[in-house]
Amino acid sequence: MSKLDNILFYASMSFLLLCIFLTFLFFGPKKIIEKEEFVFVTSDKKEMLNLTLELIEEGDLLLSRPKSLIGGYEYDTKNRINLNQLTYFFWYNIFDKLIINSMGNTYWHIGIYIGQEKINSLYQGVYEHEINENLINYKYFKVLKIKTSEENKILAIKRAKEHFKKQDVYYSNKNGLIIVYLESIGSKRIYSLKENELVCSSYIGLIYNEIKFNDKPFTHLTPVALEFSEKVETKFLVNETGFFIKK
Amino acid sequence: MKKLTTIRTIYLISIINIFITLFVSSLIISLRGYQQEIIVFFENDSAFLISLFLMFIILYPIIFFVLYLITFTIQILIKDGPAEI
Repeated sequence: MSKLDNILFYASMSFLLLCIFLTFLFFGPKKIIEKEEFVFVTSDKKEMLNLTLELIEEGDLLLSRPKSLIGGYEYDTKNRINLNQLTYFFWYNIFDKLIINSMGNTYWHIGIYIGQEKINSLYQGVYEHEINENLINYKYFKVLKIKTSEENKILAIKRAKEHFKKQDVYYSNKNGLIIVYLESIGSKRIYSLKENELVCSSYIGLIYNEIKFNDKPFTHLTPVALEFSEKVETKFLVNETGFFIKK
Repeated sequence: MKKLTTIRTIYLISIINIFITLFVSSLIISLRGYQQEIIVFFENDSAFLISLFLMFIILYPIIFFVLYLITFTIQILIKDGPAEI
């Protein structure tokens, strides 16, 4: 074995280890401790759906995460989101083990309730999906009430409907990765990000333009920043045990 | 001889992997999802470069292990058994 082979081998191994180390340094897992108190209501799926539809109000935010890899895939398939199994497996693990964990093991997706059992959110484009038994079967979720006037809520719903109609907001992996990285390392740095290239949480910041959820521009709004913002309060949540309402 | 082949395979994979990962990373961060269409949009700003770097460090080890697994399987299929380090 030549000396060059040895040098190249150790250099390549060092580079590989450096990449792994940097990934864990920038996207190290964090834990969130919930301080809010909740009261258990039910674990019956039908009751959970009825209670959700009864308690959710127009303008409320719905944060969700898949129960499992298969559950998430089933939900997306039933909502006509076309991802093949291999791509879904890849994204699920990147999201679960890296992206979401680096901000705190919390919710993945966020949307606004626009009435008529519909949630409007940004995924591949702006899309609307229904609150039905699929949501209860395949996802855990939390509903947040925004502390703002009714006029602002009406305005946000109007904007959400317009964006759905025009499809003028894009989902951007680039901006998503940057804001997750900034949240993960706790940086206050602001990048110049386009206002029509967003992720689900910054899309909520766009339609609720009048509200400042944190000290960063809405383009830098992450699901964690929204969930723990002072401008929102939790109404109820559905987790692995059942339906819980805030005390 | 087998020793040499395995070590060479590893560093060759890691060199080739740099280009593959750069290509895949730039493609992923350039995607703008729009319903069923996918728009690839390359930019050249600091935000693009930092996200390219972040995506690169995430994907490099994953693609490396995938490529190594493929090469290892091919080695088993072609030869009698895997090369030893």
